[in-house]
Amino acid sequence: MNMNDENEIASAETSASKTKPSLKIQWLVSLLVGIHFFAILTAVTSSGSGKYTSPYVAMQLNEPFQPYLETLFLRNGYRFFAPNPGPNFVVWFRLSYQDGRIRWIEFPKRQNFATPLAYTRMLSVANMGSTTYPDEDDPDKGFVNPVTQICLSSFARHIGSEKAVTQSLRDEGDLMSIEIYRIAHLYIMPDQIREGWDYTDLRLYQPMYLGAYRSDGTQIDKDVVRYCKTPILVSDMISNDIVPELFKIPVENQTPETLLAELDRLGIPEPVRRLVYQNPEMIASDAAEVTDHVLRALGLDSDETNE
Amino acid sequence: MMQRLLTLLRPVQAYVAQLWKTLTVGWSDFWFTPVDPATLSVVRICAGFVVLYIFLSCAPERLNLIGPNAWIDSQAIGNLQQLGTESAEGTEEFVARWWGQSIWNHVHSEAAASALYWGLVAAAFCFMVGCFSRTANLLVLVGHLSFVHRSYVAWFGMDSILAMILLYLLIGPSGQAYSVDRWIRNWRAKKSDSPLPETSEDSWLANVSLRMIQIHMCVIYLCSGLAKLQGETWWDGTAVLRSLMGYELAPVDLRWLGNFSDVQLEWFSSLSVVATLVFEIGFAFLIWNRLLRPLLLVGAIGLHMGIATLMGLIGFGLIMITGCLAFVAPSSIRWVIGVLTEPKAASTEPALTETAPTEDVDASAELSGV
Repeated sequence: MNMNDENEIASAETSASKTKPSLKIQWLVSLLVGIHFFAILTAVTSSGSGKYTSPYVAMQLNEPFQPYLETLFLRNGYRFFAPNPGPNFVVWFRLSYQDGRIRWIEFPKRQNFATPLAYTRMLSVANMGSTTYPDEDDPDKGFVNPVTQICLSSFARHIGSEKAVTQSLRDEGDLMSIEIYRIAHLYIMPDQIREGWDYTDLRLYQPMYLGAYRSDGTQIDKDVVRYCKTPILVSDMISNDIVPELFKIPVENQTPETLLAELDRLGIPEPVRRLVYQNPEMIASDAAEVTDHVLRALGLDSDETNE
Repeated sequence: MMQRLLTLLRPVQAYVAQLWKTLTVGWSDFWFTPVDPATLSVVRICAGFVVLYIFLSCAPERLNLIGPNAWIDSQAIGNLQQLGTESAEGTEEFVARWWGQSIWNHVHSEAAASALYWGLVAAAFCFMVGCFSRTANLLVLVGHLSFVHRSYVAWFGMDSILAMILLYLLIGPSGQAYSVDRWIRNWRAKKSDSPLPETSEDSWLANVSLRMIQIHMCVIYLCSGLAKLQGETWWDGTAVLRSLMGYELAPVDLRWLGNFSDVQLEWFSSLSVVATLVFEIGFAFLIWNRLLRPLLLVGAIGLHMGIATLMGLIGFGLIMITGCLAFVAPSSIRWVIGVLTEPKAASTEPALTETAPTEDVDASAELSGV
């Protein structure tokens, strides 16, 4: 660096310092910036890792900053796809009407949304609104905290509200109960693709029953959060909800097209709809027979399910 | 004896004094050197575009998100606020108090909720084009925070980054360049025959604003990268492949990946995992190196464009790239825009992170790393 360069830099620094704020303002701004980033530091260190608990000190230090961070929505721990990329969650609702009919709603369903972002937002609604926690005493059970409970009640009210329910569903009569299932949809792996699995293969779905609600949001059954066996849930859906409706169609009209139309009308979730459409022999009057068909289609034997 | 001790301590004292001086001068230069607000203005335009994209995309679902009968309805919002209060008073099971506030909490009709939503879209447009920039910035920030708090569970990473950028943009004069405000000022000056305002009115607030975005971006990448180190799939090299094979997020069918052999997929996934971790953890440290900065910015564009196209997270990708723009020198922004708008003026200015030779203040800004 020669003298000219040094002079230029010095001149630049002088020129810059002339337009810098006064020392008092610099101290004040520095203090505010310091406090702000200290608050951010407490937020990122106290937000948990999904695997380990946060340090006690970080949580204590974060507490006084919570109103500030939450109001400005800066409480994120920035754990994108960490510690592991997890499955996505969707919610299935089973609606029971006074006249005995049943309808299913799969939420969110990609084709129901005009834009990809609206769909992604609804995935967040389904995911965060139905968060469950494992029950340490019973691996088959889980529990929901009071916040999730409020969200689930709200989901039930939304489903039951006049604006949310389509005309065809409103015509079914009074809504008696809304059963809520949280469904984890696992990633498909390349070896599964080679074995002929599809994205919506039922073997990739893990359902969890979250309880039944009335359309005003009151819970009907309490402390019932539990994992369900997919074949049993699907067999029940076919035997109790699909078969009775299909048997109302005259035999001569029972074609693959009418089957598909009926499955759509009932709102059967995509993986079950696909399974039934590809295996029409499942439509049987005997529930045990249906279960056998489902197990066979999923490549399982009955012993595995009974365990 | 005392004299000898003092002599021995003299270099320590000199070192501490030198350290203090270097730190304070460095701190002052880093935060308070006035800079050309060109970069900040471009960040404003991009952030405004992302806000518009987000809120127009979600417009068909607005009532399901912020209406009185939304998925999380007005009653639920009341219950959530009540729950936090009761918990704080010790009458209920402990749940951290929820501090979220929203203008939509005070709206009880669908028409009014929609009107506010469209008002937010209009403010986002004004913000993007730089019309009443500061007011529009404030309105968009309040609107966005209100939206995420009211919809309660409909947010994801994109919303956090956007809130951060909107907040920091509010500090600096983001409407001073490339804006309708600027155009009006020039037009008024022309009309009154007074001299045109300078092209570049350097501002220390613009620097503070950019520095805050830069540091926050480093925090985001570092946290994201370090948190991944706890995951088995980031160690066994399958994390990227798993992320791509999710049905819900994937906008394109990637089942053709199954045609590749396990070895090929292992290589693809493991290299992607390493690239992601090196980029995310290294970003916070390497981005301050002027020579490596262009590489990291290209890496950021590649990573986020990849996430956007293969995982459908377009908004997230756009806002992360917008945040990374804060690292581009104002002189480079002016040079690129000059090349694009006035071809004859091109080729004299350096690209990306080089020093702008014509202006002293830019040179000093470069010294401090802007």
